Amino acid sequence: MFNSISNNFSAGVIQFKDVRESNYIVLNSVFTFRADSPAYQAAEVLEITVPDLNIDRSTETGVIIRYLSREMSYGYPYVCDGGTVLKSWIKDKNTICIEKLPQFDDQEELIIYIQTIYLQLNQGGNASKGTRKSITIEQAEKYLYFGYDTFVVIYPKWVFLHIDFSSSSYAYRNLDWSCVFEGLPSDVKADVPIIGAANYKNDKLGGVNVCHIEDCVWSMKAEDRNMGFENTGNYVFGMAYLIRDNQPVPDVPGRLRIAENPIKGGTYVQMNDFDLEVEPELGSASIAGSTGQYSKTTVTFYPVSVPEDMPSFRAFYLGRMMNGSGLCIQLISMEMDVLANRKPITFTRESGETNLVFKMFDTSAIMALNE
Amino acid sequence: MIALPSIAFEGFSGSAKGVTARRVGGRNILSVKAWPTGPTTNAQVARRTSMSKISKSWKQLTNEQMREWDRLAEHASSASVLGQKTEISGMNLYIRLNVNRAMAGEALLSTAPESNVAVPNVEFTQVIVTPQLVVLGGVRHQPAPYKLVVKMSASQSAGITNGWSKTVIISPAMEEDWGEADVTKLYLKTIGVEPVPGQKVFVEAYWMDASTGFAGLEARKSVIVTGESSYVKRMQVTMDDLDPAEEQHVSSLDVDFSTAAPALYFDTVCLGHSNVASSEVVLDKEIPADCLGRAYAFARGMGEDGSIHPQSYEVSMSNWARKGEIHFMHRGGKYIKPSEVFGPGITYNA
Repeated sequence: MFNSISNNFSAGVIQFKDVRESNYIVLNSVFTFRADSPAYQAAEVLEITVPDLNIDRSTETGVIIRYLSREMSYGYPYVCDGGTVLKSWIKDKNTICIEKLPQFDDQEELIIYIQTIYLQLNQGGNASKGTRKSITIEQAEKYLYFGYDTFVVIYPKWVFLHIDFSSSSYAYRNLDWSCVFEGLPSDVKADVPIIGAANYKNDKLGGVNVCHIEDCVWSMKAEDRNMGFENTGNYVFGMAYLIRDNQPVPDVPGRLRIAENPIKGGTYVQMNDFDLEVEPELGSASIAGSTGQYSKTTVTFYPVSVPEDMPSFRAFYLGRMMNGSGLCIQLISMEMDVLANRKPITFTRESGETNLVFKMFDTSAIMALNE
Repeated sequence: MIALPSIAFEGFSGSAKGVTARRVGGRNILSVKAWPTGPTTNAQVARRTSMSKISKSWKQLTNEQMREWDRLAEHASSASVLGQKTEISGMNLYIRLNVNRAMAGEALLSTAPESNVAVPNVEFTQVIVTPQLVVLGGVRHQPAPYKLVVKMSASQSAGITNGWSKTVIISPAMEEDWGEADVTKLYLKTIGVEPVPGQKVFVEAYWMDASTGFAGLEARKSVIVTGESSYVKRMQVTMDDLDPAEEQHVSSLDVDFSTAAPALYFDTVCLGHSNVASSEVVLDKEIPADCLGRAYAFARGMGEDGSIHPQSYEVSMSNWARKGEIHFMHRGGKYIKPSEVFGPGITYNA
């Protein structure tokens, strides 16, 4: 978590939650500012100056801008909150930029939701794939309906959430809503923009409301939903990269762990049930996993996430496999290089079979890597 | 070059019968008149025309502007302009900086820059030269206003050790593309022939500050042209990869897989087609197996009526009949034709 140093649109101090990996950063922040301020009116691009980021530039990403439009009509609330998605990018290691669109110049107050990932290109490998996990809706009395595209992709420090809202029962249309998002990690807490096609006061912009997610419970108050929110054809969706509050805690304090199933190194290069725990003070590391790389004597994997304090080291382990000749034991060296791009973990066959086909459950002393 | 002390040549300048005389720093210098070694390229013609115009424009400056250029010239050795340390006059500095700026497409700078800020040196990790590929790899990024200038020679005999005088500007002012400067097309356009395997090519590169025209020191490397290279360009799909025989539904296309992160990158304008809320492209090549799958990304309307509705798009990457297909499918928000799908797309197996 960090605070901004300054900005050029009078938004005050902006607080960010962050997950930093070697070649990308996930940022979460919500902030409000006046669109009628001279600073905002004068800005061509919104620029937020921040302490050093881990990357010095990024591709464009999407952040949500929103304004509130609340009136009363014939004694009933007439909600038409609007907004769209803006382009945002990291210009240098101290500057986050957000595009400014003239469509919002006439508003009084604007809210920006940064819940996204900032990427870099030409990083020495292709995008890695996560696992799509469906969200199951649980309610004591079922009145909310979500579509197939309500799912989550879970990473150790953050999740990607896509919401595909369908409808509510007629009797509940004017009530507050809540349901359990079964499958979403319980350590995700956020106000997430939820976007519909209809905006009855500005047909050039989307209808943008906000839902609240906390402890797996999804909720939306009736007073915060746009007119026609639950109508057929409103195609309501939400999309956000959300940082988990409870960052992975090692099973044993002081240990550093990488657990990925699978950990990948290429199209067909992967190790299943990979689990590495390093205890730097004792100078030992335990490892588990299985892989099947034929006709290879060395293979490299790239972890999605590596603990900040993980050291570079080399260790030797025994792997085992059953083949036609019976039980085969291999001596395998493992090298973790946290200084290299993508922090590779390389396994090399030292003796035994000339394949890297093994199951491994072993503990070994670790040795510092000498440059 | 001969420097003659004789008073017989004082005041003698100009060229006659292959000899050029000039007076520099109080000394008379005679030299053999230099003739171009090769045919003049279009780029050279354009540069000379530009230089001629800029030279003439010097006389249109005010006296104060000329004095400012002279003052700047006193503090700016030409090392920062051409890489060779010599004194330089205000007029020559004006011409050189503006010629550099003209290469970068910048307007004429009448007022001298306030100061000569050091321009960073180019750092790159590899130069790949094959008949099909001319690339500087691992170029350390410099933010705007710095632009990369690359000079290269045509293929020379492998035994030549000093061919730097043979280099010509290949890229007047380019922005490296995420650490990669692919000058293949520019090389062919400027030099006219592909690099010849087994021969040597001389490469020079420097950063140029497009706002002032000042240039950094040249980084030099000579490389032997190889028939093939193990260099793998990053996985990216653009308009150049579309199959011309197929119907396409985008006006611009950039799908970049090279993030080494849990999301890929989109920058595509979807036109839609028929009455279906989706756009398809068919490639002239297959998509690698590790790039197949699905992704979700934001989109924003680009409606003729000014609609900028936010939308959700699902994108599928697949192969069919040995051709890659990418389907951009609207999933949420108001469907607008056209819409731009941009930013990160979380990826997962279909």
